[in-house]
Amino acid sequence: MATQVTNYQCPACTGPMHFVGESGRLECDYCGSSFSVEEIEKLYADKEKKAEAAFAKAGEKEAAISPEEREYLDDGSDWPEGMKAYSCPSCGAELVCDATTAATSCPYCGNPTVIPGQFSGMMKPDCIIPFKLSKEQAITALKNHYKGKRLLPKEFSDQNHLEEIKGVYVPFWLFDSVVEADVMFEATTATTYTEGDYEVTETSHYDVRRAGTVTFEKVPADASTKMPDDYMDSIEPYNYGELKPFSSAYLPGFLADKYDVDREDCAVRAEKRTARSAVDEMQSTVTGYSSVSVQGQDVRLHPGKAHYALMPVWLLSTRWQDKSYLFAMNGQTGKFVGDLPVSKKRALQWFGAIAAPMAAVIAVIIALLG
Amino acid sequence: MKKRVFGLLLSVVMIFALVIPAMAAGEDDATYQDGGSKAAETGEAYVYDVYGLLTEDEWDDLEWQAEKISKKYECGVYIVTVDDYRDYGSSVYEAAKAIYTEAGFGWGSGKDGELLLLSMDDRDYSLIAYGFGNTAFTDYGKERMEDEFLDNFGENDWYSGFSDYLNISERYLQLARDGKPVDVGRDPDHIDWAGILIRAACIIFIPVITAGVVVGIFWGQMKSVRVAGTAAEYVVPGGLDVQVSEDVYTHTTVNRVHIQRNHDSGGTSVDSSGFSGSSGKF
Repeated sequence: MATQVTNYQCPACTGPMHFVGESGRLECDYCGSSFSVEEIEKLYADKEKKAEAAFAKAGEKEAAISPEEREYLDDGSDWPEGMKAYSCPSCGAELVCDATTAATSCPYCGNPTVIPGQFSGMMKPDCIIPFKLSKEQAITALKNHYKGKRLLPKEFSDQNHLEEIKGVYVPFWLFDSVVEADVMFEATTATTYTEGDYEVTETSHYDVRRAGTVTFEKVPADASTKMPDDYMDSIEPYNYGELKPFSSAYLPGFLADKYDVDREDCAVRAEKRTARSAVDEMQSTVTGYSSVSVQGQDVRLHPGKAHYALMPVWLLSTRWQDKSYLFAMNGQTGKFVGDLPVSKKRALQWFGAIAAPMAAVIAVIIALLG
Repeated sequence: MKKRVFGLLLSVVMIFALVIPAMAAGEDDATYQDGGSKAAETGEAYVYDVYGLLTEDEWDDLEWQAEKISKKYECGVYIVTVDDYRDYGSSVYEAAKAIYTEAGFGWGSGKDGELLLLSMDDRDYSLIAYGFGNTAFTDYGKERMEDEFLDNFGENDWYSGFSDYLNISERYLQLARDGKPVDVGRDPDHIDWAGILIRAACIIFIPVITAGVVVGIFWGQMKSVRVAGTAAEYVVPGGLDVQVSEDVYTHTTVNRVHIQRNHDSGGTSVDSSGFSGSSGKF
């Protein structure tokens, strides 16, 4: 029976392989052999096809189960709803993962495992940005993130420890669009001069109109409910010059999810951003005035192509004083984000350290002048 | 010609001012006799009530006070009341200057002194100073003095008003002789609440706001996660195509703001003739 998952094994020693960002190749954990993505794709094309077929067949079987049978099966099942079980091709252990999981690792043998069926047919991503930065670089980035933060509790960086670090290919929708914008502005120019005992300000008012189009390309919106939108927005932008056609050979060694937020829902977020930027772009052409304010706008969005892409993200979580702190790093550019706890005691100390000497200096100056 | 007419008028003023009160004092007031007659004899009177606002006792008391102060501080302190300042000058200030000069007011060779002139027809007054008077009675000091006596004059309480004038003159002369003439920021009788508040605001608010801004920046550094609001970085190169660009002038508005001149620098404004002064109505 064909298994639904693929375990990328070294052609030289059959050891597990994983994708390495720095080299852009798949490397064997045991013998150190390395292979290009193209080489592995060629070697594993047949295996992946069989896994996809098995995945599809399993899906059909599941769909054919009657509601009564499902109730019976569900009652006897150990797995919660939304979870799926696969068999590890390396050690035979049962892999239980989220229904959207597309790449993971076996908790028993640790071998990287890909579920090619999750990315077959309509679900296949158009493109992927491979990981460029390693786990070690993410850990270093976290330490750097603490540096220079004057209000960070000292105990936080001393006592907290990294609970989990995982490299995840996050599903994104990338939207192309052309925005038609017709914007009315009120603009002014002002001159000021003195006339006797009066300061006179003459303000000339103008009605300004700008209309035209703004073309946007690949505006991203993450398509996974597991990923917080604000974190994914904050690690933008990615360098799209390094987008590559999707291949599951980039996945071994990382986690990956298929999208569970559809294109239409994600488009709403992208449209809000493009509409606002279109008005900003029009306003950037209103120059030579001392003030410009938007009076009215008519913005129409013409959606273009939506690309389904996987983006590399390092997720790091720490725990301190029973509270979890999540950090995210762009796996391509290294942009690192994550809110840190604030020490109110340190904030007050800084406040006092600045305000008290300044008050003393001003008091002395006033006394000397007075 | 004008000067001659002025001299004649002032002579009449002197006769009325010195002789009549002196005669009256001889009848019923010993104190008046001491000061007023002496002034009449020496021609060194300090209170010339030509208009006749004061009783004899009041005149005597004021004259005695004015003489005492003038001698103690070697700076003449004068009071003159007239019907109409126009008999002496084009303005009440010019009239006060003319009377001071023509009557030979002032102490010693420096002609140090001050004069309060009341012109009763239109209820005008002028307070002028000369020589050391300019040092003792600064612009600010004159304003404070006027605050003291003008309320009495407004109520036709002439004696109290002149008495206040003499008392405050004595105090200011004492301070001036001590090297601390009353001026902006140096007024022992007046608590400058506005100045205190401004200083307190400088000492409290500037450090608090500065520290708040700095700590706010530090606080902001702790937050790096936020939802993106725009997509400017995803506009394709040359992706902005402006097809309509109209700039239409509609109108002009003019706003005029009166410039507040700063008079709080202190000191005394002395004119080309060496006098300083202020004037107004009571």
